[in-house]
Amino acid sequence: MSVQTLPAAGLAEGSRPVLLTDSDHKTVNRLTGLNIGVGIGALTIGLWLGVLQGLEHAGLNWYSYLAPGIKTYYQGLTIHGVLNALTWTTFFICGFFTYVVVNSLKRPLRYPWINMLAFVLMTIGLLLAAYPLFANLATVLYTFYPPMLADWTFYLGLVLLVVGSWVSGYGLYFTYGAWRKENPDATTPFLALGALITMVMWQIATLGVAAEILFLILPSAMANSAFLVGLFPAIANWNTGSDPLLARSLFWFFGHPLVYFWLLPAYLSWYGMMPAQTGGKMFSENLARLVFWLFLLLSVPVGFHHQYADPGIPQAWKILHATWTMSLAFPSLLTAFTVIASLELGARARGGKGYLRWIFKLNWGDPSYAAQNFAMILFAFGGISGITNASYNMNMVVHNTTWLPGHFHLTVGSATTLTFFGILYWLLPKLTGKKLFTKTLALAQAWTWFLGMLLFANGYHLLGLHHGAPRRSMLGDAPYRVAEWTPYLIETVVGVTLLFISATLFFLVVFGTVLSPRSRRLAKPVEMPVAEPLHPGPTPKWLDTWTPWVAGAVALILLSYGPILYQLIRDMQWIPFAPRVW
Amino acid sequence: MKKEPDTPHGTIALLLVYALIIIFLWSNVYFTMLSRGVTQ
Amino acid sequence: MSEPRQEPVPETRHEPGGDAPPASDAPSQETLHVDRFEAAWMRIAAAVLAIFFISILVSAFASGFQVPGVYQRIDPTKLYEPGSPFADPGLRELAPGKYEAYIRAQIWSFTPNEIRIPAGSEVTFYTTSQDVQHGIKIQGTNINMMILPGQVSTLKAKFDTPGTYDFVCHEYCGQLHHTMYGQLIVEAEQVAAQ
Repeated sequence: MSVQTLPAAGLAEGSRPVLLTDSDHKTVNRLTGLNIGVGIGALTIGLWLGVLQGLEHAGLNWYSYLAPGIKTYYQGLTIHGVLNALTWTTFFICGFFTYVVVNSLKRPLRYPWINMLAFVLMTIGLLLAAYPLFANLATVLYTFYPPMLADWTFYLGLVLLVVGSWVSGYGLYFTYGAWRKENPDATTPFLALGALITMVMWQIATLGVAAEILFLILPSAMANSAFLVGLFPAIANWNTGSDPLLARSLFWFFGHPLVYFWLLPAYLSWYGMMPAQTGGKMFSENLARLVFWLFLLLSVPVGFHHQYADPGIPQAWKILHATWTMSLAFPSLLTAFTVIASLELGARARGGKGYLRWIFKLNWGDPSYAAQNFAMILFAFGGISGITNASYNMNMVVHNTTWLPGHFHLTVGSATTLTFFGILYWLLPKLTGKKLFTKTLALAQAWTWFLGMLLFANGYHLLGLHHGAPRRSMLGDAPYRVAEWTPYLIETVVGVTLLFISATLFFLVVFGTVLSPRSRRLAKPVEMPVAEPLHPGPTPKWLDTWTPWVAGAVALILLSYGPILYQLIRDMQWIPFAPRVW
Repeated sequence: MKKEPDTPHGTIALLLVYALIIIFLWSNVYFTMLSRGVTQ
Repeated sequence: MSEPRQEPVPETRHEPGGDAPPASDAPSQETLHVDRFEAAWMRIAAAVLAIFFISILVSAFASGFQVPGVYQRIDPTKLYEPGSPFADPGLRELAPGKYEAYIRAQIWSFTPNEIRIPAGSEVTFYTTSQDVQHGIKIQGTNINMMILPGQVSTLKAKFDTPGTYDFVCHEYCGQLHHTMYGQLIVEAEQVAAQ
């Protein structure tokens, strides 16, 4: 148990530090476990669909084995995207952040029922969306661009998932607010701060997709439902059509900060936990804080870099977003230095020497460490293809080709997912009280993911760059497929095979740990790794103050989106939704 | 009381290599774009 | 654990449990100390990004390697009306070696899906969709555009080398999305002159 110190000055009347009891730990652990459990459940289905996709591209169409469950490649692809990119991530992050905030502030949740409500909302949303996804009523991919129209339950499910994640954030804000009252002069601990900043960014970002769904899509989807119209005939008038360009713009208002919602939890672990896992320290805690604030400031006003190829958006606005996007590469490059320097401290403490030989002295024997370090290496390449995507006209070379899935499997598929696997390799033992089943399997999982992803991503990047093969397409059946594609497809199939093995190992480790008998109980409890700063000292006030950063973020958004969104709304067309195309 | 052992030599070495990789790969795509012709 | 501290200067903040505060000046509390190698890396990173950005600006705004911009809104329900260029899409010659190509995208084909031009031609492409979102990428060129109902997308390309250039739909548009493609055939000079 931890004890709060009483600050001498500024103690508010009647406030008292609140200690974390065993019961509080149980509450948090349960919430964390529930969220992560659902996330892993979603991933179980989503990951293996990916294998089928990779094989299909190489000409092996095994979807008939899944009938009548999954009818087509595109249905599988939609489920793969929704379960991996939206469900696995959101649930894991909400669980992880709940755990981190409580254990970093060393204070119980202020209103645990709020976080439980959040989980319930998110799960109902998932189940609601799962129905049309598996019934082949929502084969619209996770971007669901109108005029394609899915069943209304799909959109409502997504709304509940997002709203639930907001509620999870509120639960954390109340907790932080209570801690603040009890500790008016303390600096927010880094791990808690990073989690809270990410949540705030997420809540701003999701306004875009919420507006898109609620105003441009859901009413028409509901009007399309015989069931709903039967209940409330007036709903039939709600089918208005929508403006696809406005819809895209609102989606990508959300879609770029979405990737930082995926990435920042990984950064949080890399900065604030990983160094401790290899005997190192945080090289600069203040720079780490600055990086998170910069992401809050810059993550949203950049969405047009996903729309460089769109008609109807003036080049000037695209260039403005490109400018912010290039600036957004800066905190990530900063992260490269600060994190690697932190890890290097550990390697040298463990006897590492030379300019590069020290790398071998990192804690590669710990699967939690190894997985995350591999995630960082893969991300190094994902970041480069990301900067390329952001480079305005260079995007014309690669947009919507297989280069894109190559890129994002290195980022959300590795930086995020493999890091989350690494986190689980200490968090699962922590939550279950059992030893990891087993360290060797987990290490093998990390290695096979790393090697598999290198091959997979390289194949897809080059196939897209050199041959322009389109993404999101059943390439195995495409009439424009040519022999030059084959070497790259072979490379990706080898990659996919390794990834399949890796995914299997992951599930073995997870279920093995959770289900293993009491005899595999941990000898001593696992603690959340927390990296100490190399130079402990006070944090400048401006790195622990919300108002200027939030105000700056809002100002940049108004500047970068305000006028153009106004124009798009003023000029919007009500273009009819298309009948079902799948 | 700043002692030099904390100087991250390895990080610098690694990042200089990384910077070269970034420049090389990015330029590869840049020149591919140039080779495919103007659009306006 | 820290003992309660006296605050010598109202501005100064002390972390509970932290080390002794640095020597007194309040301004240093608010500045960020950056290791000099990290600062050097920051300068390198900023310079690399800046050079990239300038190269982009020059190639786009000075040399004409541009992305689609605003051209025109259009009513997708009226594409077939007389006078609409998309009612009878295809190639139109403006002058020797200069063409316009109107391509209409629909589920699951491009109209026209075959275009023939002599080598050395410059073609300005105009596309729109009749139904859902589509995309077009003309292989071997920088033509890469989203095709939205309600919008006209336009870019141009010059075709000097004879050959067949596939153009594919790269935005998911339904169950036969992967069959949606066309070919642009660039004919060598003497063939075209016949």
